[in-house]
Amino acid sequence: MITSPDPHAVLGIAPGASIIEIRAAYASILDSLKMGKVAAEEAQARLVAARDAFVKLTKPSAASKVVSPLKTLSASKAALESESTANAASIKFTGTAWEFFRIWIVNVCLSVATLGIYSAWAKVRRKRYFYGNTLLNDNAFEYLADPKSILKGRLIMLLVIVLVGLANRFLKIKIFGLVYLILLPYIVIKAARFNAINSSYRNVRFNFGNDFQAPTGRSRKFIPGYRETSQFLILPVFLVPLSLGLLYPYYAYRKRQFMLQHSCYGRSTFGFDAKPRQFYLAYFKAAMMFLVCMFGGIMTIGIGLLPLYILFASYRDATIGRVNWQHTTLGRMRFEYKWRTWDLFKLNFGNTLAILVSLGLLVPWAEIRTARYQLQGLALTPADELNGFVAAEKEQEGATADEAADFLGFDFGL
Amino acid sequence: MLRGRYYDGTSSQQKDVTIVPISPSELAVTGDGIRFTCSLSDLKVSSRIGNTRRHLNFPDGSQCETDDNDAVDRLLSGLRGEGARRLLHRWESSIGYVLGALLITVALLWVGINYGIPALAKQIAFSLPAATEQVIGQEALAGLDKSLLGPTRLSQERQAEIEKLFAGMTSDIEGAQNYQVMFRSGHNVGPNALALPSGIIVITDALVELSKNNDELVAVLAHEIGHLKQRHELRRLLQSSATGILLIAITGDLGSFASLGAWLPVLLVDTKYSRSFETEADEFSLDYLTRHNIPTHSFADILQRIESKSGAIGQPPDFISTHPATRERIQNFQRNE
Repeated sequence: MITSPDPHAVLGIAPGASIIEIRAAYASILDSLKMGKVAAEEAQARLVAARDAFVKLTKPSAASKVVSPLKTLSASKAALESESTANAASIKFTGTAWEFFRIWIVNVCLSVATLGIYSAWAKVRRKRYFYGNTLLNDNAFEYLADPKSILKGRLIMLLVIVLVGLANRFLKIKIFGLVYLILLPYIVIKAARFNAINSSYRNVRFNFGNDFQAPTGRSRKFIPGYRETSQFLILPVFLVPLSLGLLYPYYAYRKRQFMLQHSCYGRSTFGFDAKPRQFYLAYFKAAMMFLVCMFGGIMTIGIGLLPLYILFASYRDATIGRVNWQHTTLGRMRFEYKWRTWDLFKLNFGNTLAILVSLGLLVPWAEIRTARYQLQGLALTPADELNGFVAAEKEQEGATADEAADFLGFDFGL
Repeated sequence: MLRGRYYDGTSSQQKDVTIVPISPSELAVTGDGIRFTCSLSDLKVSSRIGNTRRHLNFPDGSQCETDDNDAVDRLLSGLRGEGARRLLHRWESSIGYVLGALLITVALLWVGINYGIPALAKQIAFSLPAATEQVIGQEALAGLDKSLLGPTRLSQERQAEIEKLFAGMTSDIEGAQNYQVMFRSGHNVGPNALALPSGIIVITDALVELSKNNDELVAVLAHEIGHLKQRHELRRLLQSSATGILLIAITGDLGSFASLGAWLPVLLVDTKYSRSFETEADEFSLDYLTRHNIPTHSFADILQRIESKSGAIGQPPDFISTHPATRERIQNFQRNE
């Protein structure tokens, strides 16, 4: 074994320092290296040295986690904060408005010039830009969809809509609702799968629904997962209005749980451990906020309606986003969540004003700002778990890659 | 030489590697426990988008991620077809070309909205079989009867008189023989007349009561016949679907926060189309009145009365109104005398 320098010296701390001090020192070294003030080669060497020192010092004490008493409250606060940053895998968004504007305008130009056909390619290019600029622990995501699949999917959707519309008009059959209900679970599964399979991080793909059992018996004509999906999608269509919307929070909870439980990254599945009552509380708070904002809108004779509506939407997104993310797990990792109503309000209000004033030219700017705020407000803990994900088995991966090309690029927000 | 992070494709473990070209067609990948060569033609590289990370995919399913875009471009520069693949990035990188794209987009949208969509909708509307319109018209009437309109309170004689007037008008207008006029009450719509596809003209009791002579009714009916003859309702339907599709084509998928604002331009374009249809129908009416020696101020008179009756709140600004300003419409009918 090669002799290495004293780990305390590498991290710049006194021998016998507490675990919190060690973590703080390690975090500050990481931060200073991230600023990029040192040459790449040297930074790399220092990073490796610091990581080795950190591992050596924390390994033996990890079980006991002895914390020495700290002198002042502010010092302990700072130390605790650095501990959480050293421990969490943060998400960074590196896209810039001007760069994306140029990509966006070329996309729009070609989409209009080709009467919308290019929009499938435009969508892939734009998603690749957003995925590629999303860095989790300094590694980028990758979007791999084939634009031709997306175009095929869109054409088929258009065809179905036109055919059903014509049938409605001329055959006097009101089948639209029925066809929609029958197709909905199918489209939801396909869209979720398409998106998941075409997303990858560190050369390991996401997946959706590969745990669905192949259907047997009477339902074997359907795709795997159809029965499970239809239960939570079709029933609420009737039950939510019947309960005057009171079932909606429960439906939202089930939907999120279902989608996450059947999603995975490599062989690790996502999980969701919120309780229905937490959803009811969040939706109740959002509904109260809606009433307050609408009342305010009426009191100001409609003048305050737009800002108040945005305030409500920001509050809703922050509140419901909190239940959604704080209870989401991936393997042994959890999500941390930092969206604030007031920040979201400033963001959304600025975006709306800018888009209106610029006649839409600032749409790319607004999208970049939104993505940056939303993504950087999320983090995953503990960070060291990130190395431990294992891809799905090889032969299965080959099959999914082929399948991915086959998929119709159905995509819609759920 | 380029540095990157290597993932073998079986786990999320990362390793630092360097990639060096060893011949014009081959490169070597080295790193901690990694040492292999790969032919350039077997390498699959994602195309460049701005300065986002690139992924080099090796034939065995492993991958290298790097942010050194220029080094990747240098590495691939010898490959065939590489120039074409970089075309989009080159376009996006030059300010001149980007401004060009902006100008082309604005020009295409302007031409498409002003000429392309209306011309296309007209073509389609006139080539569709009459049955298309019949169903739309009957459905529309049934919908209106359920919500806004009620049975007429006009006397049988008055109805017969107007029907006779209408029959006289349609007998010498080509293609208008099976048009029919229908009477309805509707206090929410006020004095109004509607043209529905398949040749149905609905006229409200309030409008009949507001008219001072039959010339005024003829002028209004001629305006509605103008709508029917030119298939305005069907064209309006086609055009608003087209602008909706255009919007989706531009924005790709509607983002959540922009969705409300994004439909505003569609609304503006739709009202613009509606105004131009009204102008066309006015022209038809004006032409009919002059050909039959009916004083054209009849239309101006009843229009003025309608406005003074319903215009207490005033009209919305011109650019979001479905009808052109009444003042202008009246002028058109008075100028001709």
